[in-house]
Amino acid sequence: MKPSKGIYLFVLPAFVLYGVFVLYPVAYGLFISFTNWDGLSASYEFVGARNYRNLLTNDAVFAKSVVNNLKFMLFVVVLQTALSLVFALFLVRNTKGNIALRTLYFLPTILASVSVAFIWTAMYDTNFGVIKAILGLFGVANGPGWLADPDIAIYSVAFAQVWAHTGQLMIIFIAGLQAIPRELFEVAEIEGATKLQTFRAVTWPLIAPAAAIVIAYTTLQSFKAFELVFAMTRGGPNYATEIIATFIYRLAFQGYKFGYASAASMIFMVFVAAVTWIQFKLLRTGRAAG
Amino acid sequence: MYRAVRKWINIRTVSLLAFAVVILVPLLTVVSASLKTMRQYVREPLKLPVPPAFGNYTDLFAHYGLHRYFGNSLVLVVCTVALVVLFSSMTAYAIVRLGGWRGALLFGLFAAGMMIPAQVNIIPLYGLVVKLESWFAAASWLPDVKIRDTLPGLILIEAAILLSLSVFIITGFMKTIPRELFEAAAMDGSSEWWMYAKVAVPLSLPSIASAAVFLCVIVWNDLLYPLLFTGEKAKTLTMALMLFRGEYESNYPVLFAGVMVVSLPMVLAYVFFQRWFVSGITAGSLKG
Repeated sequence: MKPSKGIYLFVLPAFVLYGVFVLYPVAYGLFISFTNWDGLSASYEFVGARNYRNLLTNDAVFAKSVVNNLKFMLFVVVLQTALSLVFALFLVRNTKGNIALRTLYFLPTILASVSVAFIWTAMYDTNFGVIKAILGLFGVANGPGWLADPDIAIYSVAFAQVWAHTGQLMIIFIAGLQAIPRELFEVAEIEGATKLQTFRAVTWPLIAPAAAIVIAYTTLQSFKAFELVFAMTRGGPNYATEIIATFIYRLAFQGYKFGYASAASMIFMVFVAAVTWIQFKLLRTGRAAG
Repeated sequence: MYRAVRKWINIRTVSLLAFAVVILVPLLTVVSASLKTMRQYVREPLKLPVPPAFGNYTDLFAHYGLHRYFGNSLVLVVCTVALVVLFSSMTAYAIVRLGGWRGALLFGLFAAGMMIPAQVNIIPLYGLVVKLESWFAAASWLPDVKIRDTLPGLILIEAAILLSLSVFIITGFMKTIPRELFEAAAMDGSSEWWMYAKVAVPLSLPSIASAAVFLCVIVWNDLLYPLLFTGEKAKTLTMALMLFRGEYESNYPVLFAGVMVVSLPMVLAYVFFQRWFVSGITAGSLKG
């Protein structure tokens, strides 16, 4: 029995909100990206593809933010995926101790990014930070300038991200691992497989889908790390930690270049979609080969 | 004895404990330093705060009126989550009842929102809000509606942004309710509203609770939209914390007291509703 036309009333409130504040702005953003609007005045001019051309060929800071974003992403994806998988394997059984450790590892996930940013800014402080104090206990007087040194600042920020989210992804891996039938491990044991062989033949193929999800999610998180970077370094020193998201925010809301920043956001959207797609392809061929 | 120790100290134990220390040291530092004066913290950052000093906390509330921002955040979270859960469960119900290509199209339309990065949305959204306000101000027959720096404005924006996620989570669950249940009820002459309220919602409560908890965490912790759309009046707790940085520079004990005030409600909720937190955050991240 088909529902009556009245069923569309159920969608109406959500659709109005979503249409006005999400769908329409995306189209409007595409329009703005072809103008030189400053976000304040009533008038603006069409500049065609000039914003896009300048961004792609003539903007060193934008190029730097793309490279930084890739560095940030690689660091987080590799370290976070590896750690969360290893800890999931260690903590997969539901013993009291394991559950307590899982709870602890998960805890930073529920902190606000601003809190994580302030906690790690304090940790890294080279005058009276906790890391400096701990290094001092081991006799190291001058540690690295974690957030001040342009060569390592982006990785210092990325580590804060890993600290905050490893527990969350570990939980996803544990859910995947617990779904594997126990018999498979018993068979492997009877056959005399080593731990490594069992992992390669049984565990990995069966948690590969969970790994794909974790990697895709971590990648998206890396592009969305605006709040962490903004609250920690604001993209500095000298754009060393500028990622695409902070670049867009700074241009639009501090530089009032709405048109130019909109063009950057459109490139950003395509870029994120491309990276996600490449990853999806790689993971699929990887699974077919493995 | 030696062998017993060797057995206990293996790679697993060492790495688990090492990571526990990495997680714990910063967290304990926050708690401990928030109870110290700046002077104590600078001199001995690793020492425990004995006796504890509560000056940082009283300062934040008495001097900076943190309770007002706390109230703003609370109202924001409660209203946003209530609105999102109501609207998205209604939408999920319609998607499930329609089925076929109509249901799939509606589902796709809402799910697509999750793929749009916030940075793509914020610029035109801000432009739109400014325009809407000027229309309301210009048209004499319309009331002078403000969106920026008002809680209702921020609630509507946050709700709109989070609808996608919530529709996604709740629809996934509601789909598993047997269709026959609705068809039988419809045969008996039940209205759609009755079936939504008495069948679909009660049976989907686990997913609605997970979605609600996940949304609470997102909204409570959000900085981006408060940063764009609030000033002094509708300032949220995270926004207040962000601004303290400017005033206190590296007076970490005060900043940490602020971090404690922002984090404690979520940590307490996590301790009491752990199951929903984990299921909600897992469901939310599985959407990719």
